[in-house]
Amino acid sequence: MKRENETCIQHIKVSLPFHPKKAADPNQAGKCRRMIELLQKTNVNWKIHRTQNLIVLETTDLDFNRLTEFLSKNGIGETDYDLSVEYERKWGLL
Amino acid sequence: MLFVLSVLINIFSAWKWAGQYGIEAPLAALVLGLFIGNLVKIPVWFDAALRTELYVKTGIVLMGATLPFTMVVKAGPVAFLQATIIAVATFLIIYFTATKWLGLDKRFAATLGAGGSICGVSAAIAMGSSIKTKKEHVSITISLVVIYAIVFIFLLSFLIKLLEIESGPAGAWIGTSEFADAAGITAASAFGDQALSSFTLMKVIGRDMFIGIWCFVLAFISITFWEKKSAGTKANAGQIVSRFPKFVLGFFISSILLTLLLANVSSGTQEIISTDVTAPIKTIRTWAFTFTFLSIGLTTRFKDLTAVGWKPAAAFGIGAIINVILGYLLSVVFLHAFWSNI
Repeated sequence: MKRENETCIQHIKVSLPFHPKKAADPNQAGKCRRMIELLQKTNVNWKIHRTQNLIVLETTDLDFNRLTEFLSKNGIGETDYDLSVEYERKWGLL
Repeated sequence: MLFVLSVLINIFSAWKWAGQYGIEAPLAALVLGLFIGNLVKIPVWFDAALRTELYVKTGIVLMGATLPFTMVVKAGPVAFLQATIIAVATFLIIYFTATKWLGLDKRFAATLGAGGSICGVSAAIAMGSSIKTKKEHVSITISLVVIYAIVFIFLLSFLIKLLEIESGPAGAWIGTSEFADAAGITAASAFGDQALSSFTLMKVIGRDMFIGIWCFVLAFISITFWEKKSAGTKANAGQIVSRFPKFVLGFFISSILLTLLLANVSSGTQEIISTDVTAPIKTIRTWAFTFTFLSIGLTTRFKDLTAVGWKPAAAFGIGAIINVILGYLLSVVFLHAFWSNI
C-alpha cells in the first residue's frame, strides 16, 4: 500500500452555456472561446461536444481542484461554468 | 479461468473433509482468490473477467425470482427502519469523529461516513462525486472499505458461529453491518438460503435503494453550508433517480413476476414451477455468487490499495464497531423473532 496509489478514476465535465440564438452576441461567443482556449492550454485530452444550449468538455486527465484554481487565476469565476465530477472504480473492486 | 476455479471450489465444498471442518465454499473461494490475487501476477487480460459488481448484482436479481413479493412487502418496512437507524447513527459517528476529534476535511468525513454506512465502495464514489471530494480522499475511502469489508466477512462469520445465531437474524445482522453487497453475500452464503434472504432484504431494500437521497442531501449541505455558495453549480435533485441502483428494480420485477406466476396456477403447477423454474434459477444464482466470491479475492490486491493513515482508519473503525454492536442488538436481540420467521 502506497500513498500515491489510486483506487478510482475521476471524470470531470465542464459545461459552458452557449445559446445558438445568441451566437452572434460577441460577449457570449468571446467568453466561450476564451474558456475553451484556456482549457486547451492545460495540455490534457478534452473530449468536446455540443448539446442544445451547452458546450461540454470532458476529461479524466486533470484533477478538478487544479482546474478550478487554474481558471480562477485566469479570471474565470465559478459562476461562468458548471463543473461536475464523477468517480469510478479503477478496477473491479467490491 | 474463473469458471475453472469455480468448478474447483464446488468440488472442494462437496468434499466430506471440508464439511467436517466447517469450511464453506464462499470463504474457501474468497481465501483462494485472495491468495492468487496477492501472491501471483495476474495477467491484465484476466481483469476483464473480474467483474465483482456485475456478478453480485446478477445474483441479487436472480435472488428476487426466488423470494415472493409478499415477503418483500412484509419485511421491507422493518428492514428500512432498522437499516436507516443504524446507517444514520454510523454516518454521524464517523462524520463527527473525523471532523470534530480528528480534524479531517468535511467532504472527506462525509465520504468516509457514506462508505461505512450505506453501501461501501459504491456509496464512496457516489458521495465523492456529489460533494466533490478530493480524489486522494475517495481513494483512501475505497481502500478502507475494501480492507474492513474483507475483515468483516471473517469477523461476522466467526461471531455468528461463536454465538450460535440462527440464520435469519444472522443474515439481517450481516445486511446491517457489512459494507458492500458482494462482501455481505459472501458472509451470508455460508449460513444458507434464509440468511441470504434476510441479508438481501436488509441490504438492498434497507440501504442500497437510498444512496441517491443521501447524495442529494449531502450535496445540498455541502453547497449551502460548507461552501456558502448562492450561485454556480447547484445540488441536483435528479441524482435521486440517476443514482438509484437499477439492479434493485430488477430484483423487484423478478420477485413480482414469480409471485404473479405462482398466484395464478394450481398447486400441481406450482410444484412444477418450483422444480423446473425456481431450482435452475437458484443454480445459476449460485454460480453468479461463486464468481463473486472469487472476484472479490482476486481484485483485492493489498499492495495496490492507497495507504490510509491512522486518522481516517480510526474514524471509520469507530463507526464500524458501533455499527456491528447496533446491528447485533437490532437483528439478534430486539427483532430476533421477526428475522427468524423470514
